[in-house]
Amino acid sequence: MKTVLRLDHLRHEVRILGPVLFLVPPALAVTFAGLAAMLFVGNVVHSFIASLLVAGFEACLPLAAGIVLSTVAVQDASLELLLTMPVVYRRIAFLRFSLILCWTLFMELLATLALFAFLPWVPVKPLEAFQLTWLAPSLWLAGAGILLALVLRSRASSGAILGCIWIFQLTFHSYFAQSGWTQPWFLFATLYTPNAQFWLTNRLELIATALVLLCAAWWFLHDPERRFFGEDA
Amino acid sequence: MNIPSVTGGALRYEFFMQIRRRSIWLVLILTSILSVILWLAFISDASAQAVDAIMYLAEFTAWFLPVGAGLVLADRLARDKRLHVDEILDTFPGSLGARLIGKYLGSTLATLVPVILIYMLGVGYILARYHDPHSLLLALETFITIPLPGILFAAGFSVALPVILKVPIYQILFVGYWFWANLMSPRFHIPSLTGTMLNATGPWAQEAFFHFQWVFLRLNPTVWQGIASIILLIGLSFLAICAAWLYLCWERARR
Repeated sequence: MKTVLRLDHLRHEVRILGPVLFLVPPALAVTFAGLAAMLFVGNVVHSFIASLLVAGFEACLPLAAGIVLSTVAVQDASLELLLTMPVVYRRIAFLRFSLILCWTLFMELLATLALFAFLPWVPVKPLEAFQLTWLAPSLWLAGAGILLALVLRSRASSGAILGCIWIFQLTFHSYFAQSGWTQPWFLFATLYTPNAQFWLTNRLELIATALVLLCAAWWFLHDPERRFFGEDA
Repeated sequence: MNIPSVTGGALRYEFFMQIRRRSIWLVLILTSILSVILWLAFISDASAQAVDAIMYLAEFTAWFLPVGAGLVLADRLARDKRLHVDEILDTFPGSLGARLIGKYLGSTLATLVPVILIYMLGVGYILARYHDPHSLLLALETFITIPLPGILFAAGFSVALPVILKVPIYQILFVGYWFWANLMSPRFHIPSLTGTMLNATGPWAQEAFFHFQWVFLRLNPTVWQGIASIILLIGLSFLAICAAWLYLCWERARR
């Protein structure tokens, strides 16, 4: 009975979040697969197709997760009602974040396994290490997106900052890969410097920073009445 | 009620509402901090002249600030809808098109205020470093021809497209589009708009008017091609607003 209730709760939360947000990761994955197929048919060199697919894993899906989560973090039409209930608000908020994040990570895992099965020349790392390609930036952008949206109290601002960081890092990737102060938060190390010595350290640092950001978001939500202020309140 | 007065009223209201938004200032300041760090790295070379410093300033402004401005403006119409302000405004005699144009111009002008202030700080630094008063005029010319059309372009689409797309989906698509159409290096060998007149970071105007080559493009454009690229970007932004107006009219007729 308890399990059924929990499943009901999850289904309810998915309905509140809306199916459109859950369609974003598979839609992006299908788009990248379609683009890669077109390049493949056009006899484009394999290394370029591999770069495109790695960019999809390491750059596009994590960005989508970050922007979607920053929207989820500050939008809740029934916030006042929720705060009158005998539930801890941040648990509900984090359940919603987990649903979106786990769904995105699940899509990325499935796509990785499909790559290893059908296009084994794409991954530049062994199966276990390649999981860090998407896991580290996804967690980092998710943590940053949630915290920025809560602190700035605006989904548009949070999305804007994430978008700018993303474009900066893609455009000036050499600067980010070479400077000591930017290496720990360089999101695209697999795409541009897969054989660099700092690759594994970079991935672990991104995951550690992401956990710190998520803990900060958890702490921020201990006073949910902060959510009543701001542009998206 | 005549169209100019409705447009003027919407412009004034939107301008004052937008300029008071903390997020506009915060996002543009944070974005400019990153681009200033990179700009300083580019002009730290002792051989760099005042002209180079101004051109790089305009170039980096055109690369990144329109992204911040566009993403922050993306929630304007969606917010009206969520708060049901649009329904109240629909009961007024002013036309929807005039209101939409006023909203676009007002919010864009307000977003330009922090952009101009940030740009002026950069110009002030150049004046202090190179003591060349001619830089001031050049900085004005470069701002009008390089970053300004890109900001108008980004703002037009960001006000218009969220009418049919959810804001987060628009933001994801806009960021991807900006990189793909404007900044993607030929290393990827993927067809892109980077070398076309639709590049909103101003490579055509930059090379046509100032003979300063844009990173990895060698276009050799004429002055007329530079003018055409500016007209195309500004024209497309108004086209996007017109498309949003037609869609909203159609939606209102279906209600």
